[in-house]
Amino acid sequence: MMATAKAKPTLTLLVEDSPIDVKMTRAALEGRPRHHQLSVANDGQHALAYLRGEGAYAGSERPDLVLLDLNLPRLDGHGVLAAIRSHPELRLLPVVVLTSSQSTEDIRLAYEGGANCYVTKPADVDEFLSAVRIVHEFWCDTVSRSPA
Amino acid sequence: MISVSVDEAPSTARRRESLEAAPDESAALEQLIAVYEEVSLSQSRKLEIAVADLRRSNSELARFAHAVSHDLQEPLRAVVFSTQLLLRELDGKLEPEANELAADIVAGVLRMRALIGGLLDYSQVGSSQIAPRLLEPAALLADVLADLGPALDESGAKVTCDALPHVVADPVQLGRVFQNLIANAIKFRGPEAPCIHISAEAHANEHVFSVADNGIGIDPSQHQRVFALFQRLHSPAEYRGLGLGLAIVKRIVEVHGGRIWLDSTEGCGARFFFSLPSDPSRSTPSPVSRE
Repeated sequence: MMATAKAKPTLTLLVEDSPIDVKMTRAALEGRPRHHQLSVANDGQHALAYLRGEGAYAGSERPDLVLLDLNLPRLDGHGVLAAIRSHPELRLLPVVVLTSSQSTEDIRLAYEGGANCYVTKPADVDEFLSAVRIVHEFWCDTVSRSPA
Repeated sequence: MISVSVDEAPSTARRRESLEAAPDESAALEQLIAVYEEVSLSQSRKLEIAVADLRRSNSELARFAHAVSHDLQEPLRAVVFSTQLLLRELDGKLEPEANELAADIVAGVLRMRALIGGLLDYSQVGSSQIAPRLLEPAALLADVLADLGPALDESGAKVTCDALPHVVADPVQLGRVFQNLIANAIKFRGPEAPCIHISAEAHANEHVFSVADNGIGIDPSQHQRVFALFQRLHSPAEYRGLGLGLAIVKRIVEVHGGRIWLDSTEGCGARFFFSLPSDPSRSTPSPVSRE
């Protein structure tokens, strides 16, 4: 059964420290037909605090999708991924690694760590916008996610 | 920097003293052998340590280049994005001169990106990913020529090849060597259609391969420079490129224990030679350890 238009807007958590990439990701989602919300964490520790609803993030809504950069201040993407996968309530959260790294070691580590997919950031504006839209559409509209 | 010192162990020095005092010849001989064994043992241990140090510093260097390349890509991508977005905002509102400057920014950044990509590429050659095996260069060459098909057709190049001996090498990397050398022969062609000839000669301990062309040639004063990273003999307007191909070729050949050189004068074609250690036993080295 296809999931038809839900009343609730989707929520994506972008874990990203590069301002231009945040701007571009926002622009990509603005171009999508349905209403989608975007929260941004600028480093790995804030991302985890947000997801666990700790401190200033108490009561924060759980996202439908995490877009995760790898090269991050304080706690890198691999560390964030490991923490998500070992958390009883977060472990099934779709996590898409979105990074400039093309390193085979990073790709292998990400999949070993349980990333749902790995996307290398395209270096062209239009290709970047399109990649983010495709990923977002797939994970927010196309797939059926685990209910828990 | 790694230095190997071959100081004598104290026990060796002691044994040498007693050797001088030994009356019996056979006892002296035994002691001599003992001294020799101990010295050579301690030397080989020191050599092992030095090799381990070298390996470590090599892999640290590879990791360094890798990290630098990735860390440099990130801000560069930000510049590309911002410039592209800025130009879109300003579309049609710029004076021709400003447009030209904007195009220069984009061109400069794209070149920088290509150079960093090249550095990354170069740093990865010769890392742990090399898997040498016994192979037939002729089969490898057929694949390379198939890949180069469009460039060969477009230039009307003719490629001929002698019988080539089997060698032990990493097939992907050796393919890259041939690919780069043949592509260069096409790229730097003279007024006539390229004629490229590949041959090999067997020597005592090595096979020497060569790729000869009838292209524009290289002045002998530049022969060393052509193999250096990012060194180019021509302006980008004359020939496009990063100055990377031959640097990678040289590195691949050296990682395989060989050497590379060339014979050429300007206007008279070029002949590139590279050697690979021959393997008389024709045994395939097995990197797989059984457990």
